[in-house]
Amino acid sequence: MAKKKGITRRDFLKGVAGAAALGTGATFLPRKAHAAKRTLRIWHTEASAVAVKAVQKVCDKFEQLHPDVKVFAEGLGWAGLGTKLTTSIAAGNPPDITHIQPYMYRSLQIKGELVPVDDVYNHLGIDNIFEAVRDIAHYDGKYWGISHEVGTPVLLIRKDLAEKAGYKVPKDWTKPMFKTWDEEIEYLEAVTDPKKGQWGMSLPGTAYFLQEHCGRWVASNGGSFYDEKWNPVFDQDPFVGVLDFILTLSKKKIVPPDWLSQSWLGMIQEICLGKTTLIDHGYGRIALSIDKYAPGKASEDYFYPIWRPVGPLGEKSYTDLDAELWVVFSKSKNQDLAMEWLKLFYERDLYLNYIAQYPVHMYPITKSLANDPGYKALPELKQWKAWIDIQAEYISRKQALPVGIYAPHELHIPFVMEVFDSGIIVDEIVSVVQGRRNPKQAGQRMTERTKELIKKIGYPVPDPIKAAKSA
Amino acid sequence: MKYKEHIQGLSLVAPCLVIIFGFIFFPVGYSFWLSFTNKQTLYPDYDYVGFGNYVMLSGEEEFWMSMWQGTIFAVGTIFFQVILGLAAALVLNQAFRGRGFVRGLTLFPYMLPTIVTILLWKWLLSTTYGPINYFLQVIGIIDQPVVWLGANWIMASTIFVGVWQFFPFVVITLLARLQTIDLELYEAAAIDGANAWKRFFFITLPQLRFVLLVVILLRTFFMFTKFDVPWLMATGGGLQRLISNWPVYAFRRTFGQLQAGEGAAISVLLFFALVLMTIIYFRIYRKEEA
Amino acid sequence: MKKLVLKNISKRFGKVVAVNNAELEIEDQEFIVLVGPSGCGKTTTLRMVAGLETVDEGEIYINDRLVNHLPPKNRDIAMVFQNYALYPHMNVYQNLAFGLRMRKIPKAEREPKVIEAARILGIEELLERKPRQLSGGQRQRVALGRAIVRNPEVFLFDEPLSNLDAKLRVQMRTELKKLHKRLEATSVYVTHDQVEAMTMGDRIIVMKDGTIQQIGSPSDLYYKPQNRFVAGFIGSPTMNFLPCRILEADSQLYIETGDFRLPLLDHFADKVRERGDSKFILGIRPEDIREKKSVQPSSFGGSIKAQINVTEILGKEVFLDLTTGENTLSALISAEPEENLGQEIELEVNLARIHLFSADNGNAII
Repeated sequence: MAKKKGITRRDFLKGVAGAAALGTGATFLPRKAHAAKRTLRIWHTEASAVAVKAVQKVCDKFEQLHPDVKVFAEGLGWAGLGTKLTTSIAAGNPPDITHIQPYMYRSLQIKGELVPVDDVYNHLGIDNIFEAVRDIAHYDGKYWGISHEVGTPVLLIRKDLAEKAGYKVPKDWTKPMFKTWDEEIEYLEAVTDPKKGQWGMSLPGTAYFLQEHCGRWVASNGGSFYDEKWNPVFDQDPFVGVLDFILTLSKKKIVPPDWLSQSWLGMIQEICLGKTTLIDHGYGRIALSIDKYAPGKASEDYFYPIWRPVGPLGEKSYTDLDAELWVVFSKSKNQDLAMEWLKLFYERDLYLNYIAQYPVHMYPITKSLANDPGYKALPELKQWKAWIDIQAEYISRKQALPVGIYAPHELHIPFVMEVFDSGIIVDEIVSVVQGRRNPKQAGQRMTERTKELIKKIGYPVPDPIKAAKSA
Repeated sequence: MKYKEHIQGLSLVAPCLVIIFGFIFFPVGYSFWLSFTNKQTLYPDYDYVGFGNYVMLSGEEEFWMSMWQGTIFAVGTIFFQVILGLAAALVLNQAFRGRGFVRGLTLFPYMLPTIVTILLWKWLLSTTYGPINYFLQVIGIIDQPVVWLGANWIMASTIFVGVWQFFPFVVITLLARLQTIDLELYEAAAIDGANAWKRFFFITLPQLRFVLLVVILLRTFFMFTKFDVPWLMATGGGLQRLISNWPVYAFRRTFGQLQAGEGAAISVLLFFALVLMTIIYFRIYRKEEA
Repeated sequence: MKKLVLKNISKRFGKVVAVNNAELEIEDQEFIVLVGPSGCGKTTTLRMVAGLETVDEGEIYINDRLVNHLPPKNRDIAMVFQNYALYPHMNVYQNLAFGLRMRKIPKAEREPKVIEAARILGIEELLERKPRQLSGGQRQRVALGRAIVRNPEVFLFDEPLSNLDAKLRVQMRTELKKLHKRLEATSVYVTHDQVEAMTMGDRIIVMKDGTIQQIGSPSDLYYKPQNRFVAGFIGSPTMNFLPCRILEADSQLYIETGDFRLPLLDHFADKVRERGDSKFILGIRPEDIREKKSVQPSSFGGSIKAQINVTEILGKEVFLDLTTGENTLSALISAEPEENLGQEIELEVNLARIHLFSADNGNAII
């Protein structure tokens, strides 16, 4: 089977864009076209107003330092990033710099879309960067991306509601409130009262977040998504156990009945309003917006983190390592500028300003800033001490795994992104909740479909591009 | 002289031709071609696989689910849009105080961006804090909140939102036609012994017939190719499987699983399905007209 | 038995009084014409009879049955509309049969009735056609056919000929009249055209501003108009109106316009004397004026000297537009005068046919 070189959509769109530029150039190009400014396009996942401002501050400074450069920064949400990015790459028009999730980097790297950012690592000093984030995008001896912060979502309980129902929330968060999923379910049943509109726990229905839940649960149940040989293992007991767990939550009606269409923000609103007592995706950023939905309750007296329970097959509980990577695209014509921009991003004052927007959510990745008195003086660090400490504990115990990655070896699997974004996992979760398939059957089908997809992508052949080149 | 005119004529239509070929024929043709390849979205290389994609799709549960759900969504929304649109147009064609205001209000859903519409209805329909469930409980129609956005109701809710958003299109078109119907026809029919229902059936409906045909045909195109409503109703996940129609499934194939060839195959099937529907539709219409 | 009776009917649209206290009794088989300028309330009256407008005050009886609150379909009437109102999506046969179908007349009974109506109107050939494939006259016939096929108690016509060209209008006028004779159906016919009214009506009702001005036979209206409006509305060319005074000389009454003087015949004199008034409006129909040199003995008299402005030869008669002093005058004379344009001509008036109206309210005095 000979590979045929046809016109690609990317080439086509480039042509179209070129034609459009010819047509509209007269209006859009600046007057001094020959002295045209270079532009740097940046996408990031921090879409809130403060975050956009903090990034903009870096951009402003960058423009000051490089008067011939114009920087456009755009804040996108998390859930839509994957497909938006894919679309832009497919169209041959990705930004220069973007945030991606850790699970995406290998899929993009193997397609030749990324360039290493070792330059930035060296600038910051490799030893100055916490080990937990340093290894995320380390492959083939190079660093393919650099995290903008680090944090983990916590298992967050409404302390007041739990205590009202007669449960004690341990002040020492290293002592789990529930040791196992069964204990957790027992608690959830006890606090659920649909007549009052109160549920034990809320789950998000968004594919991205739901898969994150599955991932940390399967890790907490002694398993992962793929084995060491890159085979999907959704049909094995740890994952089937997760499906069982979800089915139980759903069947016992201890999660809101419309959870499958719930968004992350909707889930946050539910816990703030007291409609639910527990969420397993408590980003630290919530702490700073509790006042909006639950005025006067923004304290650890109401919102408290607890240590996660383990599944029946697990020994340790896991959480996600929230540490989106800055990456630079190989299609960027401004790779030099991109590297400079990233170096500037981590400059002490700007980086502190960036981290300071959500200190409960975002730890600095550099030891230098972590030990900086300016950072240590941030008031939130005291106000939400437990919330911050429990995250640090998960990270230091290596029980926090990069988003979309549920065992260290999965970091190097080059099709994690395709499977994660394929909808296969969520499809089958829904069929379990719906009662169309039992957990075992669903796990098998998930595995089969994943295998089929992987085969199409070109595996177990290790690298289709290299294979094509050698052929 | 003649030559010069040719050049002149050609240069006048050239921009149009470029647009038609570049933006219509080429992408359609390219999709056809892609559907016979194993093209992956982010790789430039691909192989010709013949009908491989079609064969593969035809054996897949998710594909048939999307076909079926896409049809239910389209037929359901079109049916209720037309019924509701017709009813609203008839009401708005009557003279009453504040008619202009109500007419404007009726168009409102059509002018809202889809994302706003969806967020609005997801809030209204929510089980935990949605006003609709609250209201239904207060007036005693239901005991327990209905899970409008759960597995059992999601398709109905999506159809409902689709109908709500797009029925004004039907209203505008039908109202425009209704206003041109000679009122004397109704008077003549009243004298001839037709009651209100018969006047509707024997005068209004036949007069609306052609416009209805066009509206239904247009809505068929729009609803079968509707992406944003089913996509956003499931927040791009969760219940997507239960309200995934053809475009959503093609999108998931192309940009989720990065299988551009398969995505193109689904688009091509949708294309032919719509062509087929149009042909059947005109056949029926002509037969009736004859 | 009275076929159709209107008792003190009134209708208002907002502040506008469309029909004011109209009273009317129509005999069986009578052909009644409602005539008046547009906005006079004639169509509104007809529509109230049809049941297409509600009645604000008064009562309507058809065959002695109060119909005020009956819907149109229960009044047993048929109506022919100005724009025909043919159902565009039905062919001629279906248009004709629609009323029968709505009344649940079995198909077998419908067909002979439709065929008969089509035969009467000479449209048998057109039964398969759609309205848009018909000429104006053909559509008119179908509209008539739709009315007669049901054999109703009362036919209502709302300016049915106004959309036809002049020639066809005259032709259809005669046909309608014949049809009426043949069907002997009570008819109420609305028109703004006084010629149509005069030629078709057994009796004519003249309306103005919602009020009935006069009800009478065509000759009544022509020869004995009850007021200046009716006198002016009926007849063509229009009656001449001249302000005048009454003078008495040698116990003879004269009508003095300022430009000429006409003796008042004795049998009129008493009525004028009763009034004791001296200011009037003189009405003379153009056809009651002739050239002075005419020698035939008659009731003509008086002498008017007038200047000829325009001469129009209409065929048998000649129309003159004249000036006498401050007034203009129209006359219809039997032969072209010898005098040329701009020259003076001497005329006389049929003194038995003159009209005098009160200068105050326009009511007729003689």
